[in-house]
Amino acid sequence: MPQPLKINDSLVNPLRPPASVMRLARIGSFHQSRLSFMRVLLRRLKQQGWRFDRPVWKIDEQGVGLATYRAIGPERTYTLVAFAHDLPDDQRSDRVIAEAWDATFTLYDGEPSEEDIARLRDQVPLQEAGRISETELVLARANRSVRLFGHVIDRLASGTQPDRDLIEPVGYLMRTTAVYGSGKFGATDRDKWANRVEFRGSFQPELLSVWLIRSFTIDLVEYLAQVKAPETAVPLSYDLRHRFGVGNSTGLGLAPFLVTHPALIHSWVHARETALARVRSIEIASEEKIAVFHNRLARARINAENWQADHAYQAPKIVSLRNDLDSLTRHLEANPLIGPHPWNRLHEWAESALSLEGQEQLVSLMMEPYGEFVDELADNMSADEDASFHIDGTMTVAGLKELVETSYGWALSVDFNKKESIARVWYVSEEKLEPRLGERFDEPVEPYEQPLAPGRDAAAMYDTLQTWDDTSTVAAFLIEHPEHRRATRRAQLSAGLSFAEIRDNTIAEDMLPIDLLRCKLSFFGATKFDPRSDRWVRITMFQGAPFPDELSDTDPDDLAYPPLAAS
Amino acid sequence: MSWSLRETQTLTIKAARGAGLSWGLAEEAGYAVHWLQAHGAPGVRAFANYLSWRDAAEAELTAVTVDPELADPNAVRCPITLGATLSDLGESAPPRLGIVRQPILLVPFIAAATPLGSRCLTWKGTEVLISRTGFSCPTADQLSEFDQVECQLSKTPNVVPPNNPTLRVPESESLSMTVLGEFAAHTYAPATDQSRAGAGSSRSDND
Repeated sequence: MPQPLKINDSLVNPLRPPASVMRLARIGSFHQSRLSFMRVLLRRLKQQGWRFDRPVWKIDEQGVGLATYRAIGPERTYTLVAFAHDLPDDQRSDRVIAEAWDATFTLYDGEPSEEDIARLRDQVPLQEAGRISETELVLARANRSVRLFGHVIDRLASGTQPDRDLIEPVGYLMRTTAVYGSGKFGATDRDKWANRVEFRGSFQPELLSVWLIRSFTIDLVEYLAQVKAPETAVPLSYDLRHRFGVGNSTGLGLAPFLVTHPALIHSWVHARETALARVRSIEIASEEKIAVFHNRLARARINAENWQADHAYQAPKIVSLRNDLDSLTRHLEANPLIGPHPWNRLHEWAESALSLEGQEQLVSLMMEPYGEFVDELADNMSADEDASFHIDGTMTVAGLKELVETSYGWALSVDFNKKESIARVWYVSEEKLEPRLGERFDEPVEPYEQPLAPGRDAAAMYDTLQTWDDTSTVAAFLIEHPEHRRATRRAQLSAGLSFAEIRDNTIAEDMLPIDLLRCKLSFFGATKFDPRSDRWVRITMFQGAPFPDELSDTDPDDLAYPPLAAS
Repeated sequence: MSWSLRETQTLTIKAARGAGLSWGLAEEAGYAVHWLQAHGAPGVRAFANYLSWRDAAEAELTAVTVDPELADPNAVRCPITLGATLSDLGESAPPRLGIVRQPILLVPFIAAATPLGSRCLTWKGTEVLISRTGFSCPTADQLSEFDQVECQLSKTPNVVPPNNPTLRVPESESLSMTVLGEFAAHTYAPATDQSRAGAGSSRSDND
C-alpha cells in the first residue's frame, strides 16, 4: 500500500470558484476521472486482494434461471444473485413504467442460504413491487440490447467472433434500467455499511453489482452460444470481450439527486477541484508523467471519435470535444510540458482556447499521471447529510442575508416573476412515484411541486428578510415564516460547503435535465453519454475494464480509456 | 417484512408535506421519526397518530411556539413546529412548553439542542432524560400513548445511557406506515398523458 501523502492544500493553487464550476453547462460537461466511483472501486478491490467466483449457474437452455457471483474480501463476502428471465420482446422497455425485465439482480450481504434464494426469487423479479430486506444492499434489473445480444450468440455459436463495428457504437450486451441501493424497497440502510473500508466513498455496492452484472452478461451469451451449437461454439476473444461494458438507461429519477444531496455533491466536486488544484501546483513534470498524459490524451481522442450521440444538444458538444482535443494536441506540439508549472500553464491556456467539453476533459486527463496526489481524495467523497441538518437559530437576519448573497448571488439577479424563469415544475407522478418535470403554465402540477429550485427559494426568502430587522434571530424569523425553513437550512449548509449548490436555475424554461444527469454519471465513471431526449440518457459503464479474474494482474486505471490499437 | 430507516424517513417527509407542513418542517418530521426509530422508540406510530388527529380535528395549531408567557395556555402545539423551534433555540429554550400533541416527537429536537449534558422533558409524571446521543425513560414503550399533555423542560445532572441502535422499522408498525403512505399520496400528481410522455422520448427504448 502506498503511504498517504501529506499535502498541504493551502499551499497549492486556489480551487476554481464555485460560481464558475457549479454552472449547469459546466457540470454537464464533466468526464470520468481517477476519482470516478467505478475506478475507485476497482482500485480498492485490487489493493485489498479480493477474489471472485461463480458458485451457482443454473440457467436452462432458454436462458432462464439463477446464477450467483461471489466477491470475497479480507473481512466480508458479497454475493450478486442474478435471475435470468424469458421476456417477450414486446415487454422490453427501459422506462420505469416497465414491469418485467430480461434479468433482475440483488447484492446479498454475505452468502445466501437456500431459504434466502427462495425468498429472493419471489421478490427480486418484481423490482419496485417486491420487498428486499436488511441482508440485501442493492436491487437492480437489466434488459438485453436487441442490436447485439442475438448477434453475439449467433456469431459465437457459428464459431466466429461478433462484428467489432457493431459492438463499438453500443458497447454492452445488457443495459441496467435501475440500480437501487441505500435502503430503497427494504434494502439495508447505508448506515449499516457506510463505514466498511471496501465501501468508502459513494455508490460502491451499486457499482460492485454492475461490475459483476457485466460478467453475467458475458457468461450468458457464451453459454447460450454453447447451447445453440455445442460443436462449433467459441468464447468471446480477449480483445472483444473487453469492449463490452454494461449499459445504463436513466431518466429523470436521477436528476433531483444532485439537489437533494447538497453535502454529498460538495464532497464530490470539492475532491475533484482539489485534485485539479494539486496538479496545477506541480512545479516540474517528469518525462514519465508527460508520457502517461500523452498516452491518455491519444486514447481520449479515440474515445471521442467512438462516442456517438445524435441528440441536438450532445452531438455538437462531441464535435467540439474532438476539435478541442485536436487543438490540445497541436498546442502541446508547439508548447511542450517543460518549464515551471506546466499543468497550470496548460490549464490557463485551455480556459480561453477550449469549449467546456474540452476544458473538463483536460481536467480529467491532467489527473491521470498523478494517482499519488489524486487517489486519496476519493476516500472523502461521501457525506453525512444529517451532520449539516440542524439550523443555527441564533444567527441574525443580517447574517442569513449575507449567506444568501454569497451562495445565491446569481439567483438574486433573476426575475422570478417572469414566466420563463419558473416555466418548469418538478413533481412526482402518482402512477410510478418517480420524479417528472412539468410545464407550470400548461399542466395542473404546481400544487405538487417538489422543492428542487433552491435558487428561487433563496431569492424568495431574501425578499422576506428585507422586511425584518437585521438584529432579529433566525429562530424568530422561522417561527413567522416556516415556508423559508428549507431555504434557511440550505443557505447555512452552503456557507461551509461551497460546492453544495448548483448555481443555475433548475426550473428555467431552457434548463436541460441531462446536464444534471451527466454530472452525476461522470462521477460514477460512465462513458458514451448518449441523450435520447433532454431528460433521458444512455451510458456505458465499465467498458474496457478488467474482469474479476483479471483484476490482480492488471492496472484498472490504465484501462479507463480505449486501447490505442483500437484506432 | 420490515422497513429501512431511510425509506421510513423519506415516507415521513412526504407524509408531513402531504398533510400540509412546509417542506422545511416536513424535513424536521423526517429527522424526528428517523431519530426515534433508530433509538428504538415508536416514532412512526407517534407521527401517524399525530397526523390522523390533526386531519380529523382540522386543528388550527398555534404557530407561535416561542411563548414563555403561554399567552394561550389552552392552545395545542404541533410537536414538529415546536420541536423545530426548540432545536433552533438551542439551550435557550423556555422551560414551559405548553400543551403538546404526541410529545415524544419533541425528544429528537431536544437531543439536537443539547450539545453537552442532558435535559429532562416531563409530563404527567413521565420523565424523559435526553442527551445529544440518546434518551431514557422507564416506560419508553408507552411513550406514543400520550396524546396531549402539558410539558416542561429542565436541565438535569443525570447521565443518559446510550441507546442500542435499531436499524429497522418492524412489521408491527405496518398500520402506521400505511397511514403515512396515505398522507404521502397527497404529494403525488395524478398522471396525465402529458406527464407519461414527458419522462421519456419518442425514441425506441428496445434496441
